[in-house]
Amino acid sequence: MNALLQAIAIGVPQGALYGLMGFGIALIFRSAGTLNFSHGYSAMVSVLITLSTIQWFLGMGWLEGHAALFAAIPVGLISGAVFGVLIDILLMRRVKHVSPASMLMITLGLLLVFEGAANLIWSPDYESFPRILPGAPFVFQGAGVLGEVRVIFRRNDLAVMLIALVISLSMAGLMKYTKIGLAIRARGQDPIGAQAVGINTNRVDSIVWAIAITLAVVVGILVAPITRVHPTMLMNTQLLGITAAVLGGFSSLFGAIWGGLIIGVLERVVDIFPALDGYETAIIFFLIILVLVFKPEGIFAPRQGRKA
Amino acid sequence: MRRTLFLALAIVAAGVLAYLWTGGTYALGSLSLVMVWAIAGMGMVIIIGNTGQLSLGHAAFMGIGAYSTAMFIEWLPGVYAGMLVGTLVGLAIAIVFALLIGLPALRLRGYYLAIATIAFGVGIEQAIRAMPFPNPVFGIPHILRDVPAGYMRDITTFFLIAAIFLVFFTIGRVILRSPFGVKFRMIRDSEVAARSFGTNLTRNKLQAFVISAIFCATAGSLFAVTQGVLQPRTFGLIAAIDLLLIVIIGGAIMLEGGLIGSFVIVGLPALVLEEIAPAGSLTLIYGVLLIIFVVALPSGIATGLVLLWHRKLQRPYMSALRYVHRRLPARGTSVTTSRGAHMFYTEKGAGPPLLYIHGNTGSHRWFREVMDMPGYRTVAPDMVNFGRSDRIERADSIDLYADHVAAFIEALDIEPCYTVGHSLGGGVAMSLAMRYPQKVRRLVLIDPAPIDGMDLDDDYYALIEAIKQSYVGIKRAVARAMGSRSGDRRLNGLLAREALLMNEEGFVKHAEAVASLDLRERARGFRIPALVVHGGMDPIVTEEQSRRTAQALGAEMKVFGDIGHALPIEDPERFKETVALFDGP
Repeated sequence: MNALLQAIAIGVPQGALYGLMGFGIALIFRSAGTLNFSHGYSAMVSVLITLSTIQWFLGMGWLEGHAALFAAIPVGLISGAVFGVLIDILLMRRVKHVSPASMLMITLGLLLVFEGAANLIWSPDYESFPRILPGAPFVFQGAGVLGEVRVIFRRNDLAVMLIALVISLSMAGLMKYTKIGLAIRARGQDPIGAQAVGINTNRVDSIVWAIAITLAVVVGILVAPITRVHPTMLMNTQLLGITAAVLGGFSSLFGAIWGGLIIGVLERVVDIFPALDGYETAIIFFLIILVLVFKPEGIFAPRQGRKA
Repeated sequence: MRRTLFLALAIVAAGVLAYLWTGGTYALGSLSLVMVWAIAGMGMVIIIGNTGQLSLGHAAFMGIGAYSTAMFIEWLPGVYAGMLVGTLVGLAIAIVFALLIGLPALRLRGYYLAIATIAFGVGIEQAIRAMPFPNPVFGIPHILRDVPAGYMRDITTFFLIAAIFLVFFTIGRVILRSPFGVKFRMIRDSEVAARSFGTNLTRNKLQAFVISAIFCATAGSLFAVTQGVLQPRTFGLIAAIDLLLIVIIGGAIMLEGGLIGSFVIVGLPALVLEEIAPAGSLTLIYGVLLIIFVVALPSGIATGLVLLWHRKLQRPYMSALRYVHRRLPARGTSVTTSRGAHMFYTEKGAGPPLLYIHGNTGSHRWFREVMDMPGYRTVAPDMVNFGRSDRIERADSIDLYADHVAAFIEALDIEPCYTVGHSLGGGVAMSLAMRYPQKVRRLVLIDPAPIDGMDLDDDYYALIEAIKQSYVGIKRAVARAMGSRSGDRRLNGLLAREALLMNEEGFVKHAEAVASLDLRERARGFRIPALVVHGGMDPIVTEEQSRRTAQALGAEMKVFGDIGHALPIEDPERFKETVALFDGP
């Protein structure tokens, strides 16, 4: 029982990150119609930019310790937004007519471009990245109704959960209550209809790409202390993010977040069984194939007839 | 078979070149690796390029093959026994997984199939990493512990891998040309259409999936054996993307694309680029290349080369062929006629003269097997504008050609002669006999240009324009005229090269001249004994047309049901018999 609680305590924050990643991927897929396999890799470049900015601030002696991190984060986020807009304007806008398979290959090409650029400009080495909330982990200990309980909760995960929650809520608000949110949903449902009522779909696409990549940069900055910073740091997070989006179903954006949470917890729960240790990712990926085949609309898809 | 032989030669040549260039056998190892990846690449050509199923999971099949081979080599006493058993076990496991994953996943399309297969691929990679046996950090080192390293190993490996590659290439070619391959391509082009033709989509997709998995698993086993080291990361997402790069850049439709792509993606870095390119730049370049190829050249290098060959290089190729062929020695002599033209001809035997007039795109060579006519002096000229005779300015007049033939008869002083005209040459012979009746003693017309012209529509001229652009086109057109002999590649090639010697304007002008031919007026009062011989299988002149020609000339008519357009080459003996018989005993 204790192990299960511990699995949830570690799995939920991790899953929230997968969820945010999946949210961005689903957002681009639904609005711009591209399954972006380079999602995490473009964010990885932004994380490298963030790290370089931190080092630059520290090296110039302008800022110290955590102040440098917080000053660098906006730079990283803005670079992510810029990447998003650039990807859309320079590439995606020009290849909208191609088939899904071709589009997929184009984003795989982008993946290589980002990975190569990171290796070329920075290095393939692993570098450490500061936590947002450093310090000793919380330890919850005591006797509950189920017996002796001792759960460790990493301090940084508190920041992860808070940020994920704030972002989810603000995204929900953005999509539901603002004009741009309405435009994004309209463009996803019917591009020609959206154009007919005066929505500039090209601009909507750029905004969608900017938002989605920025979210991925947030995930990258939060995950960097664990994975450390290197060109393939977000590979697994991205794959599991896609998985989260599949599990949630591309038809509902916030399904990706729930999907991410499920995957995060499942990963840790599988770990409880010694025989399955190490196989968690493999098991999740095989589950995903089953979901794709038997419930391709995702397990959180809105039922037919309800408004999407 | 010809392509397999050609590839074998190319591979051996590449091996020799690489050896000479680097002066060591290291390069052979790189080329072996290229062929290993090419085998996997051919699997991808089958599943992606020919069945249209974008699978990103096939690197996992390579991983299955590689690890099972490596493990059995560790477990079994002999390295070679381990290789064999491991490869077979790897194949079996790969087939089982291909069936297990393919059956559900191939119901998906587009993005969803890609996600499912990538999930499978990464899942297998993670499972291999989690297994207790291979070291999670170092993988399996020293697979070939018992095989001494050195140049002998490099060379034997190179030839062994080359042989296996060629076997798989041939298997792939047979599969793609069989009804299976046709069904695969139907599924690629339209699932709806494929189903309406009675294709079992699930079964055929699964077949393609399993076949490509077999290719990839074999490549994986060979990878383990040639590299000698396996790292856990080798068959992950990056390997999946590498496979994709190989087929997209190499060309996804032709099996050769696997080899070309593998050479670009695996070979160039290993042989040349790794030393000069800074880390990461290759990944960057390949990423850019992938995007460019998908957007601008989705059929890849192999198909691109084929298109380049057919669209751009035919003219230079035909010029070169013409240049060489014209200079090859030909048995015969030239005579200058009273019209100032040099005319090339061959002759044989002694006796009354027998003149052979060849058809369109032809030359004296069309009669080479009937030159031996007992009791006759056979004479076969190249008409002006044809073969080795002079070009003249106009190519649009059959009468003008007849005038030149008349001048030729005078120059050789062989009038009156027994004249045989074939096809367009039949038209020339008729014109000759009508306007120079003293020069022609008897007339045999073999599938002649119809006396009242041919009905050629505009499409036909467009077709001729297309045909004359390419050597393959000319060869096919000549083969069509060769009737039952069209399977004779050697003669076909020879006669096609003879066609290249013709004045190029003739391709269109001769067709126009034959189309507008009308000798019916002149045929009134035609007195020369004539025979029209028609091949029942002739795809160019119809029996009806030949019959009209015979009727207008008051000629006899003979039809050979089993002969096409060219009796002199299809059945020389019957030709001689017919010609001799018509002249009377």
